[in-house]
Amino acid sequence: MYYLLPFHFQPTGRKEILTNDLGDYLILPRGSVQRIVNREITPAEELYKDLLASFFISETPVPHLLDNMATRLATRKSFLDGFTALHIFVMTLRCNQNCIYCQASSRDSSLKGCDMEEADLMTAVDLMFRSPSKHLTMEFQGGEPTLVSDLIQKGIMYAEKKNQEECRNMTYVVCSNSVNVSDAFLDFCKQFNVVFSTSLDGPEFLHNHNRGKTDSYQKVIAGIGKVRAALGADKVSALMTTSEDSLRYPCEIVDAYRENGFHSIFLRSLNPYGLARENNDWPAYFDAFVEFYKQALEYILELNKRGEIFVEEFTALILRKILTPFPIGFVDLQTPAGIINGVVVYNYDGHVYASDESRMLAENKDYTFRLGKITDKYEDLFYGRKAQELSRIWSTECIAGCSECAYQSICGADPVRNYSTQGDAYGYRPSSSICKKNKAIIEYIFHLLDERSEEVLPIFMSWINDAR
Amino acid sequence: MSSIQQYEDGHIEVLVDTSIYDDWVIEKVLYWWTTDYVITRKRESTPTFQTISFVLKRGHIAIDFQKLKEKMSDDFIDYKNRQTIRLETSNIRDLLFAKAFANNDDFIEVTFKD
Repeated sequence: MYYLLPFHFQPTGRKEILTNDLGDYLILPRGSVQRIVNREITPAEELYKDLLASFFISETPVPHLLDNMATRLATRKSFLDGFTALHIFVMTLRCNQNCIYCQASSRDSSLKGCDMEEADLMTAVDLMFRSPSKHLTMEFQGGEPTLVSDLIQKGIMYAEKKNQEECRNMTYVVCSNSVNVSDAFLDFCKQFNVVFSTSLDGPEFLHNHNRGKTDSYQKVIAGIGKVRAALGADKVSALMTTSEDSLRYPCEIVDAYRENGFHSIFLRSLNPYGLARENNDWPAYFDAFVEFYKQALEYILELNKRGEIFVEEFTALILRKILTPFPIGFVDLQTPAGIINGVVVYNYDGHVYASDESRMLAENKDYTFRLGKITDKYEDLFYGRKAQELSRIWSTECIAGCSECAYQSICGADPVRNYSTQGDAYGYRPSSSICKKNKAIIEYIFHLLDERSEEVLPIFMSWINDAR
Repeated sequence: MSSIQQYEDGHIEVLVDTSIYDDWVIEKVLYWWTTDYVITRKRESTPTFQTISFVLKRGHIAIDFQKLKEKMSDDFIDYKNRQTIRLETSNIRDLLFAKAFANNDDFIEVTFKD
């Protein structure tokens, strides 16, 4: 006789994936859960030992290792301890590229009234230091933030001054298209160990097409080279966005990253914000994206088998959640959600938003996720009525469709996306494209771990142990 | 689920014995079908039985009846198992979360006698 411990399961083909809140998983033949529930598993079976060792069953009503289990659960949720670690500063909405799928609704580089006020910047830095997190990331976004590089420098200088007393671990990130970064600004960045995050969508024809330009690729590649030369090769990372056109070129996109000296790629789907919102068929897009992802991942696995270490970052994030006891810092895959708990945005318009996507909605005059003004009190912004309302719906453990899902601790809650795509922050999982996409990808990764373990596990372990 | 039937006009009726599958199970199963179907529930004269009707929403594509039948049958059994797990483990889960999020100083070490 044994006792059940809390767990979830998901049937998939002839298998069942069992998971629990502690991060354990087992992939068993279909019908195993029925046998477990019916108390048909005997101590002589290997499965009995597996279930016991992975905390799916217990031989006592209260497990002997309950404290150990609690510690493991606390570890998986330890991202909450530091509260908001990522502070995004949207310095300007102006941009010198204005790409056709821009998610941030960027404006022409000569437009006025789209830059952050200096006083707001300083107040926002003060707010950032109210966060209890030992690690603070100050991320500058736009538009194109290097158009106001003097303002970025003032922000960093002020943060550095404050940090002499605060003693936090500071990370500075500039999200730039790298098209027109000045030498003087790069000198400053070198001094303060600033890293660059840029955008590269793939090969020249695709990158230029996505951006509606003829020379964007050349400019970006030249810019990446310039930043690398000034700051070091490891100080530049790139993000790609998978437009509808990109879906046909999974291998070519991976190759473009390799050819340009990158050792990883983050296969990132389009987000339904800003100009990208105009896409006409999101369900079809996400179905095609999952196929695109699988093809690209297969190609990347082949490269790794040939001895080249090349990482798919989204897979690596999910693998860390499946194969290690630790949480990840990626705000899209957190429960409670990354909004406010992990990230907050100080916008050029003088307001604070719950996330990057929240400020993108604001460009369409939708202020649902505006927490208040930068000049408001920290407590009112981070613990105020809006934050309290959001907290009721920001955990997968508590919302319909997620609360019984086997992937609830791997996936994340996202009220902002629910609101943006379905008009309701609570969300409706049966028609949620992001739910379908995340489920498909997580399931595929479990399938690889189960069916092709010998082949993929060494590669996956090298990714999560960061062997680069 | 006790029986499932499709009628000529395309609508589907499922007869459920609520003494086997209670409201929690029924609602969880139906939730995933609400995208494509308008769902209504009616009590039958036999006290524990309910008839659940599925009418395809306008503009939606009907799922092959055989596939639907198999999927729904699996769903009822799976959610029944989920309910059993939930009911049998809810106290342990509460304890686990309470301990995980309590201050470390408040932890009480329990000594067990085998």
